[in-house]
Amino acid sequence: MDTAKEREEYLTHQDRLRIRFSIERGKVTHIVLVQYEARIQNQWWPVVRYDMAHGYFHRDITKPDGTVAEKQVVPFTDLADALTLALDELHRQWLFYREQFEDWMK
Amino acid sequence: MTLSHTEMFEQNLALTKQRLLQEAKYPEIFEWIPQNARIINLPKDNPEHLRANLELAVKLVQDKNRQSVVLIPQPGFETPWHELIPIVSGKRIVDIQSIQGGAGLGLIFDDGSQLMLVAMKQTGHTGTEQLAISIGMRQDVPA
Repeated sequence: MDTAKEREEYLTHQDRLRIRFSIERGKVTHIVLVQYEARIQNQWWPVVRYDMAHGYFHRDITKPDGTVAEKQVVPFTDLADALTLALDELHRQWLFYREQFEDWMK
Repeated sequence: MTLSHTEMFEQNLALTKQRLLQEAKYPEIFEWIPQNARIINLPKDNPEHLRANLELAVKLVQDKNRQSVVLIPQPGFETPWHELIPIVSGKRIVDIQSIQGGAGLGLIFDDGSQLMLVAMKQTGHTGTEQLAISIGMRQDVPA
């Protein structure tokens, strides 16, 4: 039976990751969600999410109104690879994503 | 000197990545983490980073959110963590109580406020041990 696990990984006072994955028979079977959330104007906003919905791993860049500004497939070989790709891309791009989101709020 | 926003983000992201990759391989090591917990990593060899993360933890437990706050030390972490809390909070400790059979500490400050810390050594199915520390106000720390 699938067990869904969710948690918030705090990176700073203004940035966190929401992680959701499923475990079946002691193994992680899906990364349901890796979502970068930014605290802006005293509220948490989802800025970028990576997930395996629709049967493939992809990245959605979201706007303040909740719509998806950009969807991109992220090819991967296994779960560790998918996680590494998502977190490495966040490492390179998080500030750009944050500033872009703040611009959209103006 | 304090960490910049960018430094804190990137150093914590590196710790999170290290742990999530371990968890993807051996999920039982972290199966005890409460659902919807708020996680903060404790770096083993960077006092400035450690202090910044403890400040963040104290701030989280003082807000009105009722989700658990769990501190997860990086493997090899040896800093006497309980001694850092009063420094971070800027208050003087007037009493330290042993709680939960010695597994935890109750820190009582000179203004009457209290912080509770409970260390939990968790053993996964593979025998791997992982230390975690719950931090909260007295009523927040799970038994």
